[in-house]
Amino acid sequence: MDPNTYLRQAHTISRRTLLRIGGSLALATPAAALLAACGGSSNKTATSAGASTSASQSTAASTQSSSASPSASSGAPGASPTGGTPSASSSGSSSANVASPKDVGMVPEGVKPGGTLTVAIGTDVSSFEPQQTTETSSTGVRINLYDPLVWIENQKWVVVPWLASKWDISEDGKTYTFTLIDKEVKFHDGTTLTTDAVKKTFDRLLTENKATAAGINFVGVLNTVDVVDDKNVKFTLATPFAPFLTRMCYNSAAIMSPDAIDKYGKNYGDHAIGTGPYKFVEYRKGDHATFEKNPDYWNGDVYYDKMIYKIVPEDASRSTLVQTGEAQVADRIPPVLAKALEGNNEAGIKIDKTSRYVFMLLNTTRAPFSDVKARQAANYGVNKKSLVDNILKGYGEVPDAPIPSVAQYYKQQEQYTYDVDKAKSLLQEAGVKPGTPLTIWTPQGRYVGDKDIATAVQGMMKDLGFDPQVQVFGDFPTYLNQLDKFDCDMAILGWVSPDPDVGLNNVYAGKLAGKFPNEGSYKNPKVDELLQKAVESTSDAERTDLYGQAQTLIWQDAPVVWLDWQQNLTGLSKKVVNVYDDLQEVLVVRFSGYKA
Amino acid sequence: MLAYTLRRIVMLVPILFGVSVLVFMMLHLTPGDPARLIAGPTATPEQVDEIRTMLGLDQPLYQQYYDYMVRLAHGDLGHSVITHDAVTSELAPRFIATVQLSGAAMLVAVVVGMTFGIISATRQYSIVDNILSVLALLGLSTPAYWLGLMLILLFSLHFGWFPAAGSGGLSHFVLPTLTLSMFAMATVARMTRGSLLDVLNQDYVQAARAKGLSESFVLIRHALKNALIPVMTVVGLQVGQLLSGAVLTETVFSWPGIGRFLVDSIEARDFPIVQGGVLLTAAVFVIVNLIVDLLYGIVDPRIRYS
Repeated sequence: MDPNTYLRQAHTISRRTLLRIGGSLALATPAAALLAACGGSSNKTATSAGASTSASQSTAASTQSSSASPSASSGAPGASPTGGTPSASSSGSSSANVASPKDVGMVPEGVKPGGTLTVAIGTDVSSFEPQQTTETSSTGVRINLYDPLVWIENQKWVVVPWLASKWDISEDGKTYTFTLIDKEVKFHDGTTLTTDAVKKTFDRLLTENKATAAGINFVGVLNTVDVVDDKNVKFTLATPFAPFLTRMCYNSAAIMSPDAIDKYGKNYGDHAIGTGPYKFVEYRKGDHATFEKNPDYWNGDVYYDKMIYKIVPEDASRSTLVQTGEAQVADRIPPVLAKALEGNNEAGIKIDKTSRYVFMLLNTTRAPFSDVKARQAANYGVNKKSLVDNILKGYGEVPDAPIPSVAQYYKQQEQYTYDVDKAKSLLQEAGVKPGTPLTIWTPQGRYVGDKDIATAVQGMMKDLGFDPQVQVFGDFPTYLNQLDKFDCDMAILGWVSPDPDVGLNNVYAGKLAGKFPNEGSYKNPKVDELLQKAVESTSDAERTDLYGQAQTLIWQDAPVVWLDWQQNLTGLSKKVVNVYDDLQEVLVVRFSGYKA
Repeated sequence: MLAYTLRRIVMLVPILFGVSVLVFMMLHLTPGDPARLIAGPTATPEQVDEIRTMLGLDQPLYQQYYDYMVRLAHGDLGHSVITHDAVTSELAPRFIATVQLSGAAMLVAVVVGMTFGIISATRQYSIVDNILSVLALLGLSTPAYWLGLMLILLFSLHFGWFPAAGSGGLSHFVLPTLTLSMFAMATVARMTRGSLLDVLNQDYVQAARAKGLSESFVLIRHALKNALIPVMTVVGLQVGQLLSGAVLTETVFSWPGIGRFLVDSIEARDFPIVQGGVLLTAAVFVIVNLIVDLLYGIVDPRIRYS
């Protein structure tokens, strides 16, 4: 099925059903911040949230005031996956019925229960406990086992009730009260879900696990968790922080069994007790993990009897496994192997837009790129279409804004169309002499085709009269370390963020000039002011305007060369439907199944 | 003999100590900060510092090394900074997987390699000898990486005879064992041929033949025994080759072994794992070579240690 068709269908179902189940769905400003990360083809993106200091005041105030009128909700959950204004509903349904995945359109029609699903993943699972690591690959594995209080339908950017049937946000935006659903929910070890379990989970996160990647999402944001009664739990924040609600949808915020916490302590991950549709069976390090169906699952159908994650680091081997039928799903298929899969009878390629952005930081602290004309010239002089067509093999898009089109508040800009003459005349105006040396840095194997892109850009820069050199860093930690020094003119970096604040207020933030990820030291006080106003604003229209202005200014300043919006490719058996990479690049198989 | 053995065992200690210093220094002097990698790209500097303190990476290098050695003396290799599991429990299953694969490869390499070597040597310059020599040359010059992928294409994808990846039943062993053993097999075959030819031309073999002993008896009881010494040396060294060659084979076939795991751990700057893993592989390498040295004396009674 054409993935876009499915998105549209699912989207329509979602809207209708959300209206039905959430009689009082109130929608306020979409202030959800999701993660930012750098990382990529090697599957090690951290899903840790960014921008913890850029708390938005927005959702809070408007939430209380926006009384639930159906008309208010009809527009907002209609978050288009390809632009528009994706929204998070900030006050939950008061209905006792929580939406089952099928009801909210997360599972398409025509899926039958049963069978075994084998998923080949490129990176080993770093932890089965949600409160440890947050990289995308392990997150994708864990979400089968655990449930958070609220769920973000990530492809559509809508927060839906999950273990909590509703949530209320205080007027000052500092307390969030979640109400557990009326159903009895059992953990895999037989313990019943209570408000005490919720408290115990978060107490553990804020004390024992505060210095983990998962804990970093919450420490400094969340102060205390208090049990109000047997249905309500109150979360008190340090300061108003609108992205908190989306952060509660992360796997890091999944609820853990209090009995199992006592019993297993640090070894929780060896047992991985959650409330999810699949139960942990076994894990052999570096080899495979096996899950089985949870017959007592509280929320709708569970499709597979058994789920096996095979750890297969070699791209070509993963691709082979879906072709031989030894696996039904293979994550992160590089474009060069995708063509072979497309011709296969058993399997195909699932293409997903994510918020992955790959660009080249420019060194604005020294000539030539201290001059805006030289930076624009670099953008005109790089043939991005050719990079996408030849290196990404067409699995990507040429960017036309500083944030990806799937991000909130994306505003399309006029493209720097490939034009060597224009670039040359801009360079002349900037007084850049022919033969000026350029140093280009690139990691290898981190982003799709990174080194090839750098080499191609080297040739294009040569065409403009530069004398460019490429320096390749095979080891990514070394590369990160080198970036801090930034003894170069251009350096490839990737970033992931469906949230405009994380997308803009890091890479282009004056406060981070000279630091990761703004190592090119771009600084425009006007942009900083707009971005600051935007996170403080409570008005959707105003934020649209502010982020729009900021994007236009950044686009004109050309602090980086925008290279590509990479699409993620998953090898997928033709018998299985509804597997996707979400906007944060997490491979979601939880809602998939065999075709009926 | 006993004294010699003991002295050799005692000598292992400074060797492994040297390895531990080298690995420790190389890791800690390599750019790349584990704390930053764990914290993720958007953590604040304070959060990164906190993780650094927790891992003890804020201490001076000599202090870190001292702590490491003290723990090591107690048999504690530390904990993975990523999974927080004990290094021993991280390494053990992977080490076993590698030993299984390398063991199978070694067995195939020795049995097949020696057989081919003997056939070649006894039919010097015949067509069979020429074919086997060319095959051996090919085996030596084929990269494991490429060979593995070709075998997968042919036997998994095209014929569907063997699984393409992972470990499990016996069928999982076939392709990775073949890939991993190819180089060692070719080396053993060439070495057997060469040293056997050497021996077969010596006077005592002529004497044995002149006594009227059958050719096969001469070959096995007289010639082969003496031809074994250089072959054994090569086999011992091949253990190291197999352990390092296993990285590529393990990657291509997704074998859950230690080679690939160490490479991943270096990339993630998981210092305790890398230190423990390198120490373990170094220990295996020196111990195997010690065993080979001792075996010389058993195979060839002329060799005496004192």
